[in-house]
Amino acid sequence: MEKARLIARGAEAHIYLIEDWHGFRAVAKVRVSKPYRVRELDTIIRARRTKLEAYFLYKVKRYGVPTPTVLHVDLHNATIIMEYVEGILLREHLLRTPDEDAVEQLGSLAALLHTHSIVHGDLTTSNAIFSDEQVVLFDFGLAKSAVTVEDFGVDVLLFKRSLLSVHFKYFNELFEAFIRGYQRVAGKNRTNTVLKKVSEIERRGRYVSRELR
Amino acid sequence: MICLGIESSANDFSVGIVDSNGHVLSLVTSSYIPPKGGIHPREAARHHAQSAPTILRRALEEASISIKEVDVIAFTQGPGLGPALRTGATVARTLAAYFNKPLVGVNHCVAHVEIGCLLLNMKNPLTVYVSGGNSLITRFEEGFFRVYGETLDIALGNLLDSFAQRAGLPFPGGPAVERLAKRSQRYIELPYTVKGMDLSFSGLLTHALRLLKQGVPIEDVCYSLQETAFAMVCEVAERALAHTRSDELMLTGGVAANQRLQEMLAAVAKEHGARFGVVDRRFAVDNGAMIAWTGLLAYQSGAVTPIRDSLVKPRWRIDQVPIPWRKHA
Repeated sequence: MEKARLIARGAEAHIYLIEDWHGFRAVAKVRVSKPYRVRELDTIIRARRTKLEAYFLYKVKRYGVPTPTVLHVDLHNATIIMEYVEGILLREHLLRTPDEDAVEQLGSLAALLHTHSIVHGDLTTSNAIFSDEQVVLFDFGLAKSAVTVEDFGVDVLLFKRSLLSVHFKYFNELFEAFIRGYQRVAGKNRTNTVLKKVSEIERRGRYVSRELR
Repeated sequence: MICLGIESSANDFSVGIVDSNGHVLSLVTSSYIPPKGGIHPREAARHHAQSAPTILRRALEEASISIKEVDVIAFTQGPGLGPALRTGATVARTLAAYFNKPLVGVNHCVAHVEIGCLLLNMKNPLTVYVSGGNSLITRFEEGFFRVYGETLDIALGNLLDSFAQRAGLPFPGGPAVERLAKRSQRYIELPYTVKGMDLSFSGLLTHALRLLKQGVPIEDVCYSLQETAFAMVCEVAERALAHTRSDELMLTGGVAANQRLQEMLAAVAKEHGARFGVVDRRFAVDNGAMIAWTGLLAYQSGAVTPIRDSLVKPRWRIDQVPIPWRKHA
């Protein structure tokens, strides 16, 4: 990884920019070892998530979900080299303008995943890039195959919670846009089933106020 | 100004007296320890009702003041066990009405954060609050405490206690598990469940108990249980730290006493250049002083709880409490 430049440090991984990776502008996502974790567990988690991420980044493309193209996987070093996607994080974009259209796109992508029995596992506005008016999804380290409404509900709930914590000022508009996009792909019935599950999970949660129960 | 705080949300009945300079004048607690099994809310409530007069008297004696010198009565309004909360609330209402003092209902989780800030001299930390009844990662932002991660099922302390109890370890379970864990270095993989920013411990409990049944040495199970559960907490804390860019990380709640958890979170804080603080055990567990201090902060910013609004809220979430005493970030 010559000429790699650290461009982002997440909690879990470091992202390096490689200007010329066999002719491609690429990024390397390296899941770093955590000193606080016991070594065995650390190795298991990093390898598992790298493998899952590479697998799903590739797999979901065939369903029409835009993702960075995987160029190389190095399980031993918990590293994925993938295509560099020009753009800004959806989170930053939304903090500038509460762009309902972008969130609606994200809703459709979530529904596309769900209708193909996949959950993202960490659906937040920090895990999508807004690139040329298009939303590109990444960070599939917590993704999994899923068939139950419960799994889909958790996925949607996670997104709802992320909106509430970062974009709380425009929560209502943005969440509605997400549902609109979701419904366009999943249809009304399926969307309602998932939304019903979302409120059921919320009610199940600890210390939910009585008004919501 | 002096505030008397009553905490009764779980198995402790505790009275603390605090002045507006942040001095704890007294703190007296009586713990209900179940003879067998978990806390029965009715039994806890009975214990609280029986201990209330003695604990109140001793708290006033230790502070060397009379009830007449108290300016405000604060109590835990929630969250917690209904019957236990109601007992404390009844005591607080009675004092307020009889001695004609203003009453302030306090959120238990907010109080844990506020007393920690006072003692550790922190301004706005990301707080990891882990106890028998609660496990959440929170920080104040624009008027409210935001929850960045929490358990979807049982609390971290509940995981350790339940495991200990079913493994036949003495009460309290947490320290017993920690002692045994120190004797092992053999890690056995257990379900590691992080869903986005949230945690799930129930599968971990089931699996750990199964290992025990299969004859795996209890030291190894305790070690693996702690390593897995704490790594989950650390991961979520780290992500919240990266997300909020907080420069302070605070650990509180009953499980905060665990040295391994302290060590791990200290490493997380170090990596992100945040100052790390662990709340002293006396004030990290449920205590009346934190209720008194938070009641005082609320009262000084104009909040009072008229008796008709003083019903307990057993499921009162931290992110639904207005925090008028903190400046909007």
